[in-house]
Order: sequence, then structure tokens, then C-alpha cells
Amino acid sequence: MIVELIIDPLLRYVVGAYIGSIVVLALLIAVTVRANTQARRELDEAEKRRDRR
Amino acid sequence: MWRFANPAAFMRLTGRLVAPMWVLASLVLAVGTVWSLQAPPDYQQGITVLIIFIHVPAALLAINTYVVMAIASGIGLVRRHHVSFLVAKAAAPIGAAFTLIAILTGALWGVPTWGTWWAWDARLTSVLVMFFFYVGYMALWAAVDDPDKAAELSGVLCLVGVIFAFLSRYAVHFWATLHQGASLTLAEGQRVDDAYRIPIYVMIVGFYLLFVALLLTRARTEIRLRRARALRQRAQMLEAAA
Repeated sequence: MIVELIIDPLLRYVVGAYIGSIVVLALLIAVTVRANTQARRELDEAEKRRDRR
Repeated sequence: MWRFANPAAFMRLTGRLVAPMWVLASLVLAVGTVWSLQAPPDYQQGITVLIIFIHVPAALLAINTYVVMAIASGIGLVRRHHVSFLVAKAAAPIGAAFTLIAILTGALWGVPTWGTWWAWDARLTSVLVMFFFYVGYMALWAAVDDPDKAAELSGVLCLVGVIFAFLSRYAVHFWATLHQGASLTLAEGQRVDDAYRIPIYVMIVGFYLLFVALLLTRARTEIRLRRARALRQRAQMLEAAA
């Protein structure tokens, strides 16, 4: 089965589709996590400033 | 249901859901991917049938995310709940990413199967226009400084674009197009063998769970940013008054 897959010329389309999708999803997840961390930090700072006052 | 329009209630509820959603999405997608890759080559498509396990869930989510955005924008415009607008805003990059994946994987499947990367077919074209609406929606949010004005304008734009989400879903019923009609249907009996049908359903569930995990995380981010902005503005007003 694995040998059949390796010699199959159609494999490059499958690999391209999977890698492309993983890259897009990984970027989306990375951007989401980063934005969430930044928002959390921003809110913490704003709340601390309010409490000090 | 309307009590979740209160940002504090929304944050309390979603705070308990986010982590389990990420875990569940990762597990289901891992199982679905491994299961999908075990599927035998199709007698016509060969191993390119493996692309369908990503393309179908991504295309389904691309359309349904737009519908979620349109419903949230509609609620925001009618009932003036800013959490609704923020949910729509949070959904846009997710929908755009799923649309991009659907277009990309569709093109890679199209070359060996149809003999072309792209055709100006009714469904493909309406999905492309929907993608532009996603991008336009995000650009409009970013372009307007006043968040309330940005929410209203982008909400209207979102509702205008819903016709393309509808066309993306139903174009194959209205016109004889290159893109085939729905293969996974409950109404007309099964047309897909279980070796493909079951892993596709698992992947669809995995994509939905990922969508919910991303949406909740992004919506919580938007609410935090709005709250931080409000606190900063209040502090500036107090400083100016003192």
C-alpha cells in the first residue's frame, strides 16, 4: 500500500492539499492564540491601572 | 438565550467550554485523519479521493460559518447586542481560512479529475465571491476607527453577502455545472461507500468542533479587547476631568 502510494504520480496533489490545509489551519490557530494572549495581557494591565486609581 | 448577550455571562459560560472543545477537536481530527488515510483508492479518482476528506468539511464550514456570521450580524443590528457583532467578527477569519482551504484543495483535486485548476462554474465562482466578502468584511472592521460604527457597517455588508453563501450551497441545484451535486445526502439514499462516508462524517464533526473552539477563543479575545478599550477610555476621561 505504501509503495503504491509513493509511486503514484497523483500523490503530489494529495500531499499538496494536506500540507496546504495544515499550513492554513496552523496559521489561523497561531494568530488566534497570539491575539488571545495579547488581549488577556491588555485587559490585565487596564484592570490593574484602574485598581491602582 | 439572550442572557448570553451579556459579556460577563458569555465569558463565564464559554470559559468552561473552551479547553474541552480544543481537546475534543484535536482528538476527533486526529482519529478522522488517520481513518481517512486508510481509505482505499477510488476506481476513478485514484488516491486523489483522499483530498475529499479535507475539501468537503472545509467547504461545508466555509458556507456555514458565513451563515453564523450573518445570523450574528442580523441579531446585532436588530437587538443592538455587541456580543453578537463580536461573534460575527470572530467568525470571519475562521470562515475565510476554511474557504481558502476549500478553494485550494478543490483546485488540487480538479487538476487530475477535471483536467483544470479552476473553472468559472456557478459553485466555484460563488465560493470565490464569498471569500471576497469575508476579506471585505474583515477589511471594513479594520478600516473604521469607531467600533460601534464598524460593527454596524460590516454587519450590513455581511447580510448583503449572504446571497453568495446561499448560492455556494445551492448553485449545483439551480444550474447544470461542472461541480457535481451533493453526494452525502440523507434524502436519496446512500451514494457513497462506507469506506469513504464514515471517515468524512468524522472529519466533518472534527471541523465543526475546531470551528467552535476557534470561535469561542476568538470571541473571548474580542470581548477582552473591548473591555480593555472601555477601561482605557474611562481612565482618560477621569484624567481629563481631574
